[in-house]
Amino acid sequence: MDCAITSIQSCAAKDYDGNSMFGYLLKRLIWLPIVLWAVSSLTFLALRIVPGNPIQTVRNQVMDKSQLAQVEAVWGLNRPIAEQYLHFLARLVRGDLGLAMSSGVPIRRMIFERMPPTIELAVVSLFVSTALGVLSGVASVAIRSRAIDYSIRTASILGLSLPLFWVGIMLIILFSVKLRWTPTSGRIGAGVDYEVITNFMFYDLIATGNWEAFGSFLRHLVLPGVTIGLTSAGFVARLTRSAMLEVMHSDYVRTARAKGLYERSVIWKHAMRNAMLPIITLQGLQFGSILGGAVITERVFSYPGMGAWLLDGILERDYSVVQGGIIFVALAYVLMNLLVDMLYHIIDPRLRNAKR
Amino acid sequence: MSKSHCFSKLFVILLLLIALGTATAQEPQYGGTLVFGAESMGDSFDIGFWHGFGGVHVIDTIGEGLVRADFENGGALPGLAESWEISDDGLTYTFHIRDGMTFHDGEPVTAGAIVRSMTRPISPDDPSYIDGMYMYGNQGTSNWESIDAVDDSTIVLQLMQPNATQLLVFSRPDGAIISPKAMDEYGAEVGLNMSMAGPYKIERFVPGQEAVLSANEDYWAGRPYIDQIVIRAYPDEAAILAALEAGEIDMTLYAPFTSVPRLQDSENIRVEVGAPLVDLFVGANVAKEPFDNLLLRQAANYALDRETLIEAGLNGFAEMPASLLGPLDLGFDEAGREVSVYDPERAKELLAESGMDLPVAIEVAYENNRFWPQMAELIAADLEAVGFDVTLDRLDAGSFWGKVGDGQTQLSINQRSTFVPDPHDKAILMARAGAEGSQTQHQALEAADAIDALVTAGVSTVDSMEREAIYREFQALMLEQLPYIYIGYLTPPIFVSKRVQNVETFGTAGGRINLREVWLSE
Amino acid sequence: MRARLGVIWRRYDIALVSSAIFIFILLVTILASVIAPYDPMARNIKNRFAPPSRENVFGTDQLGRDVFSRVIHGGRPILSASVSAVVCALAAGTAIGVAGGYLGGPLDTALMRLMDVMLSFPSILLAILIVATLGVGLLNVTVAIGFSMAPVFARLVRSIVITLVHEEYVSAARSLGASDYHIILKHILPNMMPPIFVQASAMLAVAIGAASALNFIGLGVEPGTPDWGMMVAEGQRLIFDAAHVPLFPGLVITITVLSVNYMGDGLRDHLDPKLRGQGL
Repeated sequence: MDCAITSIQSCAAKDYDGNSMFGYLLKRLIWLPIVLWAVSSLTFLALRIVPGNPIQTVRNQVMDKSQLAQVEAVWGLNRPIAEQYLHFLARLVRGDLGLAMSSGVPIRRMIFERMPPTIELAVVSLFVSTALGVLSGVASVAIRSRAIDYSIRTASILGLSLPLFWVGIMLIILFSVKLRWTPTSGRIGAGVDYEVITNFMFYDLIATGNWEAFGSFLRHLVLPGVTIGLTSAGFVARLTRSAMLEVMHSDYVRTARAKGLYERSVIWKHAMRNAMLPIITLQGLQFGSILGGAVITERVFSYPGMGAWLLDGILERDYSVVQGGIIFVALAYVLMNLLVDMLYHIIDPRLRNAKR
Repeated sequence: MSKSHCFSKLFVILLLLIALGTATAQEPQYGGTLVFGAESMGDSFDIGFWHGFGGVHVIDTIGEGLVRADFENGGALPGLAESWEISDDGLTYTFHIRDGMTFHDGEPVTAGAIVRSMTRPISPDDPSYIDGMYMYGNQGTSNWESIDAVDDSTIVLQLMQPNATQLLVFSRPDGAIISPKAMDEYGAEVGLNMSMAGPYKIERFVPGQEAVLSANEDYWAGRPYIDQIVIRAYPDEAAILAALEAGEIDMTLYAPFTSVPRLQDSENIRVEVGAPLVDLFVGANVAKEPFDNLLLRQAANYALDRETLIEAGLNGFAEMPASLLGPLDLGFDEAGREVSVYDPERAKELLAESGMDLPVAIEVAYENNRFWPQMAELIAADLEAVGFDVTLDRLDAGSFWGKVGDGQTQLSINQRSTFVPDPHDKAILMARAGAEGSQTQHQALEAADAIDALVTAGVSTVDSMEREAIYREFQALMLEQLPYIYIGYLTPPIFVSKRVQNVETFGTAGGRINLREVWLSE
Repeated sequence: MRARLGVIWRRYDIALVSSAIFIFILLVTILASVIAPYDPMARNIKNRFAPPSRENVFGTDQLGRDVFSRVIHGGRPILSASVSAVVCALAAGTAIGVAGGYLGGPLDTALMRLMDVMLSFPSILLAILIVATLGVGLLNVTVAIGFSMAPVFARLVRSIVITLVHEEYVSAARSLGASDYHIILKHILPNMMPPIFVQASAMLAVAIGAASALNFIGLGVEPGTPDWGMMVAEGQRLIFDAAHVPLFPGLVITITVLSVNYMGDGLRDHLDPKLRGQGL
């Protein structure tokens, strides 16, 4: 549940409206601001309903109570909720996300700090799950062994259902504490020196030629990347497998075989094209959901990403952090969805010509 | 040669050996990197805001106020001010600033720079001003008549009312002085680029992850021993333990207590015990049924088997309780030890006396992290044994403080640490005058006015003998009314790798780590 | 007859074994109070963290309670919460999905964008907000998990309904003048069952994981209640010092989840022989 892996099967059977791509995208883009408005309003409302507010969570740190009343006024928390909501919407329309109530740091600055690590984590975990999933999916068809078939199924179920805090800590114990192959946590080694340009370390460290830091950076990504990657690797494997089986039983492969084409090239060419659609859909949505949903993985690996930030924001009842963060996460999710749809249309010629 | 002579000779040799051993052990070394595992790392170090204990640790390591706190003996030590005078009426403070100090960015530390930093929360025109810097409220700013830099090395602070804690609050994290150059250069984002005058300076800060600090060569008390200190966040307890086991961190306060027995015997790790500075207690909401009834508060008090609570809930890392103040506090009253005791028979009698239908249904609220769940279960068992019917209310931090603040809890379990070594620190936060935010809603007590008057008297009285008497009376009254039921004084384990030497165990126990004297062997 | 049984066995061996295991787990859970050797709540402070032994087969936990008895009792809350969450999400999702997919038009668009809103809100954060608002407890865990799963079912159901609507037999029924109600009940619902069953069994696994995850964040069942998820989550910090405390409940969760899924696969095979042997 860490990532919205829950959406996987529904996207494997992706809905398609039958419109032209352009019209479809346009329709979705018109809906984008409405979806964002709904998400942010929901967040706003949820935060006001949940017990506790940003003042109460810091109250025990402050001796002079008059200060807190002043702060309440600064943030407008003493005004009616409807007024607060209108104020919030007005600022949102201007693109002003404000300051974090608990730390006084501009939200846009925090997004700069927290978004790149999470994107990097998402990319690595997608790489892990795609590689692992496609390989084992192909293997299961090529080898045709019931044992392999079931091990892949088992792995996929476990990847889905084992709590990530459990998988994470087990990986840490095995690879960091016992074997000492990887560091336990964080984004880069303690005290390693590097220069921040875009805050995408993958770019920054290569651009500055800082190979020592780059090595440390990669080693830190392995365990959290694998932890999240395992959740969808099993699904990728099953998608690959069923796509390949379908292709192998299809008429044109039989024809190709009859013509004496080399079997491996047949499998790759047709099956992979067939499998690509559901895998792209799955991984695209997975990517979108990791951006805000890797809460537990980021916590266990002390990884300074969006999920950990949002969790802290919720626990501290920092309204502006949660409101600002969730909007970005939702935006990323919706855009990813759109991108997946576009790829879908580009890859599958049948859909491209559907309207004609 | 007589036998005894032989022994005495051996004894002398032994003594010499011990002396030699300690002498070599106490020769501090310079250099090395220490990684400190914190529970969190905030998004900024702006001292106007609360950034969790990770933020406090960093500010305490890089910052310096006019004075420093002496957690071991109480009172203030020189900081940026090498000396000070306080007028007899307690209203005029004159600080003499040390000569030749610089901030981390090279800017000289002058009286003017200090005053600018101290008046930041009341200077809306300052480029670094942010609306709502609530933490500065702890500096007592609203009680300042005036503050002036008379010359480059003298500051005169004029108060409206005497404030016995005024000197010590300057040692708080929010009393650390910021370089005026940084305030100009970074404006409202100064918290991301802090330049102060403490023993270490920030090399790099990764929000949410770590702060890399390096020794300040120009620190007024001399360069600290360690070259580099990394304060790094590990929000998950198992993860911090893994990092400790893997040798990635050298020091932490946040590993689970249950690991102490094993770690104590391990090759690389040592466990030191902190001083009893943190109160653990159950707050009873006196404004709400059924704990508006003193008999029930007393019954709950006698129901708690503190020895078992400390042993099973805290792995023995606490001392038996007495009252709201701790053994190191000014005016601490031993008499409380007679009240905060386990006496289940008495608890049952009190419940019977209350005439309520048994069992009395109650809720116990607590935060869902660290040792609280375990403690809560034990407390519930004790309460049920004497005739309460307990529902445990496990809450996230935000909900806990929300419910407590709104007066919706009945019993709530919590702790209070000491940020400055002065009784007022605990008194005002646990029995706040005006009381709106106190955990126990104690304004509902008939004695509320008396309690508030004592809290106010305690802080506005300057003479420490008089203060002592006031705090004794205060503790007695709190024990008589029992809005708080005391569980113990936490003596937290401090986990360090064996190469870490000269660990300060007083401030550290209350969450204010002090790394300026720490050094690394090897 | 014998040969026929053999065929069934060969076809469904794993599904049958899984069913047997799952029924066993269910029986143990239902009869917990008869089977468990000790009271799962009984503390024995002096006997904390005892390793597995003859008296305490799975050892004892941080308050000296018998882990074996707690594991036996601990299935009820997590299983009932997960199952009811999935059932509720399935019911809500089917209603939304059928409405959108069958009726189409603006209603469909609006419903699907609403699902987008729900899906784009990180599910674990949504669950935290729900539980923080409603308080801890089994029912609220159910609500939180069900809420985050409903849109998944809705989208799946809708996509199936859309393909079914264009099937010849549906068009035929419609041209014969069958009512919408009749078509949905007789043609659409029965035909979406196989994929939905597989999805539901996979979602049950997810729900069990999610229930444990909520406990890990500190929101879940009432403290002290024996519950597998809670035991794993609270025991995680003990993994170095008393590994038996989290390990046994973790193992039981794993076995349960696997058996449910293989059961679901078998059921799907049985209902839809076309898909047999094709994995997903």
